[in-house]
Amino acid sequence: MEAGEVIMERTRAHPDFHAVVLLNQEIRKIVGIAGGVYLSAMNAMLIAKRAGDSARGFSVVSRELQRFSNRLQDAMHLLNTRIFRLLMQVAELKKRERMHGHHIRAARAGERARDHLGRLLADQEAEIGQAGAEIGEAVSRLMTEIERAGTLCEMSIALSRAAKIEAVYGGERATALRQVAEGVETTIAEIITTLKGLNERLTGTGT
Amino acid sequence: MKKLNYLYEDGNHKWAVIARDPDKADYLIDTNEYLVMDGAEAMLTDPGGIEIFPAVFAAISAEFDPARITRLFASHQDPDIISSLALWLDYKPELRCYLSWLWGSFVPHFGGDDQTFISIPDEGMDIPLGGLTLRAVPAHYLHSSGNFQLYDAKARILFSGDVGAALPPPEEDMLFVRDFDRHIRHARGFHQRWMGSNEAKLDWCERAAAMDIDMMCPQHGSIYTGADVGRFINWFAELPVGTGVSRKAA
Ligand SMILES: [Fe+2]
Ligand SMILES: [Fe+2]
Repeated sequence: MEAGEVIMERTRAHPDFHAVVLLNQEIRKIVGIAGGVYLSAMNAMLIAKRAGDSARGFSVVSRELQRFSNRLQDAMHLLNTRIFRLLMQVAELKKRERMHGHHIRAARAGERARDHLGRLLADQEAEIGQAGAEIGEAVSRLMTEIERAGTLCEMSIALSRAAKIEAVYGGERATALRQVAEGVETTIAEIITTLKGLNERLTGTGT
Repeated sequence: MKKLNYLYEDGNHKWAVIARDPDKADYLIDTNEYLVMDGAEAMLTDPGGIEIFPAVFAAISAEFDPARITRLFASHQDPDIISSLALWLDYKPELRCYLSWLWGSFVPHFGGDDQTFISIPDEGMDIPLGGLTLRAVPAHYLHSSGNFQLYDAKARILFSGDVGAALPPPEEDMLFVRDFDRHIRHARGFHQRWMGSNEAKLDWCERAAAMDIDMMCPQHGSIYTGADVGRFINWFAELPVGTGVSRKAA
């Protein structure tokens, strides 16, 4: 089953939308952690500048790190936008389902009522189906963004390792440089783990 | 799109407003929902109508874990206040809703059962939230005959419900009142028509004037801060209400 279908199945199967709310919470957590990478990259630039010539290699790597952290911020912004929209769509679907529920109950109350409401019920079902399909598509798009962010982070792991190596040549600032590089590496690793967790949740293997 | 804005922050004790939806259809009145947070708990005041539920829910979730909302506060029984109740309960069945005893058997028409409501007596009551004690302040007949406001003495914030509400044109629709005299023109007609009792109004004005209020937060329109709170109370005290219908129509 496609990831999108799993969430879709879930939102249909459950009368609540906790799955999407939890997803939103986790994405917000990642966005928060990613903000830390940005700050670390800034810090790395500053220390490299202070270390001067002895840290030229580190300075080059840290510039790359900063470029990466900018891209990561963009990716996070996109994730945020997507999950916000998805949440709206799911809440809207819940609203429709509730209205539909009221009309179903009315239709069950008698044959006449059923005659009058038959057309409406069919239309509502079609609309709910359509909204469900759109939610499925939105989830797929979200998945793609999550994967993209993951790939971006995987690539940058090499970068933070290079920073660690360059830190060795940082003279008296070597320790400070190494700490920054390690900080970035840990943070990226944390993002990768969380993203993987998200992926598993979305494909249904994690829950 | 609706958006959550923080109004007050002191450690884990916070107030936020979910305000202004420029995308909302013109035939729906714009509403402010307020989220009061302390520690692990949060309460949402006047959660709003069924139509705007998706926008409110998404705006809250963008900044805050909605699962932490344990209580709702309904100032009165109107549809723009609490018709989204069933949708909130779908999301979290164990939510409790504070509501005037007067409306205890009316609001369940929007949703909820005998477990949902915590009945507020006419004289008001203390409402614990996290480490705070909030107060349900009576404001009956302003405009509803069973009507409460919510006061947070620590934050010095009064959620005033429909009192202080204004319907400004979009270009003057701001989060905070900037120019009281300009703003209040858009509140006059609303108060004259919706508020029915001069006696109840004066009683409220007297009590409100004795309270420490830094921010008065209505359910429609801009928030009053600082000296504008006192200005509003004085303005309201002098405004004849229950006069919104012309003699000819009567
Ligand atoms: Fe009202
Ligand atoms: Fe209202």
